[in-house]
Amino acid sequence: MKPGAAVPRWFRILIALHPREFRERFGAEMSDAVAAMLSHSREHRSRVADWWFLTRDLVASAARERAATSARPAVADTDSHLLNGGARMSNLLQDIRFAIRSLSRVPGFSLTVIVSLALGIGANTLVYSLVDGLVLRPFPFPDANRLVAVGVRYADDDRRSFIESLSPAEFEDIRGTSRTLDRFFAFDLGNRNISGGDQPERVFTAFLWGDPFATIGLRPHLGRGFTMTETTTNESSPAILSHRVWVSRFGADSSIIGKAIQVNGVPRSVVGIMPPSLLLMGTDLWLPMAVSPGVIPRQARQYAILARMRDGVGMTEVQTDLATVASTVARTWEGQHPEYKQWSLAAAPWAEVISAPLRPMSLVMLATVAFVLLLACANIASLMLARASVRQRELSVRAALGARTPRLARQLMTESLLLSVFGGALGVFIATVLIGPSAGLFPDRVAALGLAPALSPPVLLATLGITVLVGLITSVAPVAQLARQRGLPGLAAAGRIKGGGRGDRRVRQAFTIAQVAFALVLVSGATVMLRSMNRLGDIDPGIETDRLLTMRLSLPLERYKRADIGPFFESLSARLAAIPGVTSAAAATQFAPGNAFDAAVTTEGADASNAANRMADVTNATERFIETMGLQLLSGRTFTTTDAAGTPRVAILNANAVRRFLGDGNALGRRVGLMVEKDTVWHEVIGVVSDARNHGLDVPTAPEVFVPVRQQAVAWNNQLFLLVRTRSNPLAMLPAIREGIRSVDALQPVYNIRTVRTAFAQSIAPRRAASILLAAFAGIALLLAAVGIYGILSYLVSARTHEIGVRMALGANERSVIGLVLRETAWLLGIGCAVGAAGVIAMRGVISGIAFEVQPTEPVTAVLTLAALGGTALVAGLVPARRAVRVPPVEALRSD
Amino acid sequence: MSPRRSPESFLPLPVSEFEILLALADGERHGYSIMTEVGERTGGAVRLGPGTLYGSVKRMLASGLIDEHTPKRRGADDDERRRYYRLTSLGRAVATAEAARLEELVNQARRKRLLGRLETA
Repeated sequence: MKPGAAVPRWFRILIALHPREFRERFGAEMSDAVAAMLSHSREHRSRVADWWFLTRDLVASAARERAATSARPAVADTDSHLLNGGARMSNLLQDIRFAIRSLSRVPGFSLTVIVSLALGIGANTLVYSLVDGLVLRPFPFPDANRLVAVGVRYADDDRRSFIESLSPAEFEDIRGTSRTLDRFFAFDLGNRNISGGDQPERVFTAFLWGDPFATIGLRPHLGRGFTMTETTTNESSPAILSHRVWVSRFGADSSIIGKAIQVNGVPRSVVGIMPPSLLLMGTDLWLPMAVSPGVIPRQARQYAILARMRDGVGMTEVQTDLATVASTVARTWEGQHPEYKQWSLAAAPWAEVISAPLRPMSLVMLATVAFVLLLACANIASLMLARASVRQRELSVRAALGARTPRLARQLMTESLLLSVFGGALGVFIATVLIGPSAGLFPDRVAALGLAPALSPPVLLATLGITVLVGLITSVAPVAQLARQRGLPGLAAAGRIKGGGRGDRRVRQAFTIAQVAFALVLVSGATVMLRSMNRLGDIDPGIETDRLLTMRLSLPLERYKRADIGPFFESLSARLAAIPGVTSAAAATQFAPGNAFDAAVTTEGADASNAANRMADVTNATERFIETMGLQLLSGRTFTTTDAAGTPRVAILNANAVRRFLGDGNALGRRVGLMVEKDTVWHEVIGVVSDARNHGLDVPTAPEVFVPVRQQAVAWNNQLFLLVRTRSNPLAMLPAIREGIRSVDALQPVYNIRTVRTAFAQSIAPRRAASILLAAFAGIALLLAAVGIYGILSYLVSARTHEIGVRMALGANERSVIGLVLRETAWLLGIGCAVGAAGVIAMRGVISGIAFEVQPTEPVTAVLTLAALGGTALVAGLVPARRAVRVPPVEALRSD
Repeated sequence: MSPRRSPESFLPLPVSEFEILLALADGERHGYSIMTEVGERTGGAVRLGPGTLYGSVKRMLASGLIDEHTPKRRGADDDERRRYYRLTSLGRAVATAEAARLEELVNQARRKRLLGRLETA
């Protein structure tokens, strides 16, 4: 029996895990015993059991023996001339000095490893920090996953909604009957002017029932939160300010508590300051609702409800509890409110609700950088292996001269660690530099959270750990090999054989295949994203976005009556249109791409029960809105001065709304009903206009109904957007426009000033940001893969110089040798492609979730990626192959 | 070599070591033969894997419970690397002491009526 012949490789590996001394003494006998045991277990079932038994046994004994070995004093590990008191420290310094010397002799190798490492670590740290800061843990709340929002869903909804979704009466139902939630509060969002001082300031405001501090679990920076009584009555008028407004506007004056500030011209006393990290969707001012929830109609569903889960209660219990609450409410109210039929309530962690829109994108990004790290690791591993086998000779010589194996291993580890430290440092540097700009790609997000994300040290450590581990394993493997060869045989072998044995070669081939596959998947994903962006750029927004400026203005209800709002905005628009350089001006409650207000639409004779399918955006607009926006009048007329309060109500529909609600016939003169609270308000259709992308470029056009601002048909609104079309650069016109506004009302702040072009760009900003990052990472991945493939292939081919010399000497010609190399390269590429294609297909679902009107699998992309990698592979294979065939056979034979 | 220790100082003996001593009590054996002997004698209740076996062998050699023996005459199928192990007198004494210790333990269990009493003649 040949020694170890019948022992499967797996057990040879396990035996090799034992300490050298142990292996030398017992390795052969253990192999024999394993072989004998396996040869006696013929039956399949006992064979499986035997494998399992042997595996456990050998792993345990390897661990035991290793522990026993390392427990012994390690004097024998040190080189003899260093056997003194400071041996360990001077060994370390010597190792580092030696490592620096030996690495600087191979700058190409060192640089490639460091850069690969830096890209892998940098990309992971950057993206994980972004996702962590913007998506996973957007709030520094204690026990954040027990802070939940209550969401509602009606029979015909396709999603559950959490924000502006429940009514005060429903808040009371839930607060009164839930057994699993406590510390409730509800809020609605709006804007208020803080005045007093030089400039009035517009702040994002939450109107509350209950005390957010108690629910959220953070203490106010100063003062206190609201009491329930304060929020349900208007006996006092307290206010809470955000930390940033307190600092910027009130100079961080702590004596502000108890003092009065002017909110919309009404004095309110400051009772608290929020902690510095903003708490509630970026609101800067908290005001009590100041009314009992009971007096607001049950269908005024514009509030969000947050609560804490009671101690010891799990999410399942909360859901069951809310289901009970929902069915009780339904039983009680279904008669008056048919929408309760099949409605349901459910809770979700608030952080999840807030981050839901960014979640799919984040997963894609995290997967992407994980791929980048894998590629980097593969590169480093293959480079280390290549260098190690080149160094086999050096190591053998040193071993022959008396260096002990542990010392050599430590030397290699030092080199590997040194590279990791440099790579890690560079990676951190890259991430530090890029985190600001990357966070800047998500401006709304950062603004809402109040903080830009910072680097995440745990990620840094984790990625560094992974890469160091890869470096160590790959660098120490050759030493283990050396230890097995022991001394002179290794020296002799290392002198001649370069490129390792079959197994070594297989590993490298596997690396190549994996790199091709990874790169293919990543580049496909990135191309899909970029093509999506291109496609979005080609989309006609439906309005003329050039030279169109917008800003928002709210009339304080303390000074303006509801009936004044329409006339105010009409006369302001007329005043602005008269400014030289302005071609037209208008105001509206919303405009493409940011529509947010909608209402149910009915038509005469239509079935009113299916309300959810009959929602349309409803926009209150001034006379010249249609022409200012650049919408095309398809038939009928636009609004005129006669469409005012007291005259018959009129409406203009977009083409989509006509198709949806009125069918093909002539729309003009027909009537549409808009649901306002419980009443249907009928309007005569006087015009039809073209469609615009009213919910953003990447969302299909929604049906839209325009009504004159002076008729205030739907949920009267005091906050309107001004739209000003100019002849030249719109931002240059801003001072004149401000002056125009001041001439009408000097106390009015305008805010949210931007061009409509910017508004459209912002509507696709997150998608754009993700595309940019993804494309950058795919580029890095492609680069890493190319470097890796080049390194491996050129190494594999140059390691065959000897073989090629023999072939040439035996009469092979250049073409056949190069053909041989190309065939092998093509094989590796082919397999890599197949694996990559399988990966792309497997990830199709994920990719199509983020793609816009683009197929997730695009053959053109795949072909291009392949061409890039194939080109790299060809060069990597051809250059050394050509060099090899040029070498005279005799020399090739003599060479290593 | 380690100084000679009293047999009692080895007690209690790890199960695997006691099994190996038992296996070698009736003559020298090579490693795989120890494994099969233990398996057969205990009806498969105790199974020594090669890792456990040679880990124990290493320690038992070091403490002088067993020694290594290369027989002069080899069978035709005998691998030249095959090593045989046999009990030393210390090993035999330790095995006896361990057996006595276990017997005393069993007797105590009987006195606590955990086991039935042996029929006395």
